[in-house]
Amino acid sequence: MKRICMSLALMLPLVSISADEFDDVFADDPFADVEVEVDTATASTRSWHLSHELQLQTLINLNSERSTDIEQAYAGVSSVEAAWQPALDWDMNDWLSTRAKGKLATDAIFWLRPDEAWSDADVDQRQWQFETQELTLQARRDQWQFSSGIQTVTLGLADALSVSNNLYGRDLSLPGTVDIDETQTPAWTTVISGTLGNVRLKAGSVHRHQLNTLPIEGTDFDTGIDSMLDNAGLSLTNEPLALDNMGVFASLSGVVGPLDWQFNAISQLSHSPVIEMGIINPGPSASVVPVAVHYPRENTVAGAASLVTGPVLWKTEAALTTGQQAQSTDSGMPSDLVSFQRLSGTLGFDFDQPTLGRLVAELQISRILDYDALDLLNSEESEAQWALMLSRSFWRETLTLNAQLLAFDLDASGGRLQALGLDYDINDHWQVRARVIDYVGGDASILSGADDRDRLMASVHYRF
Amino acid sequence: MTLRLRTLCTLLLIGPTLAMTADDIMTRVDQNETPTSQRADMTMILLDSRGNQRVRSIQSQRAEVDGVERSLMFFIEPADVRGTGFLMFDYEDAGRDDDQWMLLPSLGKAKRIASSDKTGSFMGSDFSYADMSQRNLSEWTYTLLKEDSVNGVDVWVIESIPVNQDVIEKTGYVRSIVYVRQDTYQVTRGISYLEKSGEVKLMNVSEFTEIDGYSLATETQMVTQKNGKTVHRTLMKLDVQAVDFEFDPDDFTLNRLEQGL
Repeated sequence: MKRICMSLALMLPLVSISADEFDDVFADDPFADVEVEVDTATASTRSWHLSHELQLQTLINLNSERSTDIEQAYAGVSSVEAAWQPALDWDMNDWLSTRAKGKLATDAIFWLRPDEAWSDADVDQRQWQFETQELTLQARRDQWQFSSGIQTVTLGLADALSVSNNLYGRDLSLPGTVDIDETQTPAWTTVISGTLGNVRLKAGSVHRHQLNTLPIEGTDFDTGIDSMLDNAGLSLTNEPLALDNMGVFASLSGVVGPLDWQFNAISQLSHSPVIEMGIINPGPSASVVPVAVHYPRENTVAGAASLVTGPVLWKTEAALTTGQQAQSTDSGMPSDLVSFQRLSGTLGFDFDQPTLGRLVAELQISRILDYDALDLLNSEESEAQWALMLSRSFWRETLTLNAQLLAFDLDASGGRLQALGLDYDINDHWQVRARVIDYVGGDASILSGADDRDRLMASVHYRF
Repeated sequence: MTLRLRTLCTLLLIGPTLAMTADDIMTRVDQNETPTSQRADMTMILLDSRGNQRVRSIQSQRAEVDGVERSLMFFIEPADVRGTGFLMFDYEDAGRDDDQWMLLPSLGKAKRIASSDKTGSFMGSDFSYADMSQRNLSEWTYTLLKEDSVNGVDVWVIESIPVNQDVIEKTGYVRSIVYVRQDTYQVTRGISYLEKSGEVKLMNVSEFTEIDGYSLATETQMVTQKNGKTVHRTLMKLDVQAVDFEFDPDDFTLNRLEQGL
């Protein structure tokens, strides 16, 4: 163990430098009386590393109209979550290692405001929760690596709106509370990666089918899908663990000077359900109700490239997805499920300059091919999303201000969420965060009527 | 003995040093033998003006692969960034930007970083990315100001001025004073004047260690002053594990970066 011991008592003497007088500026050792105790060797020589994070986080609705019981419940302070997140890295030997990270949390709001109209689903979800965020076993041999367990594998080169990076379901339960580029939900994945010449190869399987995490039934963001399916005796559940339900992927990538390139192929069940509607009681009292939920297998081939020029990284991606499904119509009524192809593309840039900060801008557009011939019941021919992310650090990276904007449709008519955030590292152990999320309602189901659900999220973190 | 002969003998006795120009000295500095590969644990202690400490521990290795200086680093501490990695290709050609990638372990993703501007702080320390890269000789003009001594060792004091505005924008420095040891041609101190008005950085190598025939800077101080007042300090300690070890060029690739810590 090597220790650096100096004493904290001395503050540096003030030394003034002029253009011609620099000889004396080194007269005093600036660290002579600074006492530092740092374990410089242990951190990298021991085979395991255990760390913890304690977190207290609150969510406050800033502008609820309180016009319903649900809005009343989610007005003001709607969450006071305390969480413990342990993480363990253990290198068993030169080639075998394991990583584990979890979260145990409880939300005290159900004790602090017990009389509100919390839904059972929300209480079940939030009152106590345990989440395995990572649990992997890795083996490494020369340039090849095998890894299996709960983890995420990221494909594509775009940050926020990649058309390749769709291996995992996304956490959309409370839009904007998770960074746009960190919404992937980890799942049991096996991946092997290595190099063949100058080409990197990555291939693997996501073993469990995953759904996007939608807002919980009975909360102010509830889209109503759960209750609609409940009434029809249906529910949203992941497909069971089976070979037929696994996702598989393969990726080739490489570097040519300032250009990074990547080709991806993915086959997996959809993360979003296709709800088949049917007609019951034909005749004057006929009604259209859900009759089945499908998760079609979608196959995607995609290419991506990024090019760095000065302080700007340009990014582009394109993908063709087959096997997507939607319901066609017959005389305006629900008819058969039909499969179709979708072409998607992303364009964007990442500007990074120490004085100005980092600006990421991305636009994703997708289009259903042969749309007119399909006569679909409830699917738009084209969809667009765009995202802006701005961040700037101050005070030696202890204070970071960031802004994010995610909009649906080119003119943002689908709605948008915009957030301003602040992260402040008090020291290596304590951090405070705050984020204000402004929702602007629109056609997108998740933001429908969301104007009065703006949130303030504040948290304190202690790491050791 | 004639005057001419005495003069010649005197010149021979005091050695070649007086005859050297600033350019000669800095060329010798640039030609100093360095390990072809090096593996080390780096610890940076960051102190703000109130003496509050932050610690950054990094596992690093570097090597010259096909004439390009490649380095691979992984964060050990603090815990919230543990496993974050950097791969850098530092090209000798002054006109070519470095290639840099960063590994985000939580996403299992290595992404390219634009790196033309090196004025930013390296991990919140007083060292900038420019300080961590090799300085290209042709981007500066040198003037020998005087000779002096530091801790009993004779040094040359040399002024460096960027050759154009591009270099200033890339490094953030408008002028530097470097102290070069006359015995080993190593830079032992430096004063760098930043483009930001009133900011000056003082660099001092407080420890050289002899490792396998190389004299390596194993403890370096960097102090930032603004208008004469110390605003931040960094002490960088290098615990060198190995030099000139046999390496596989594939250990400095994007694939290796993605394998993680």
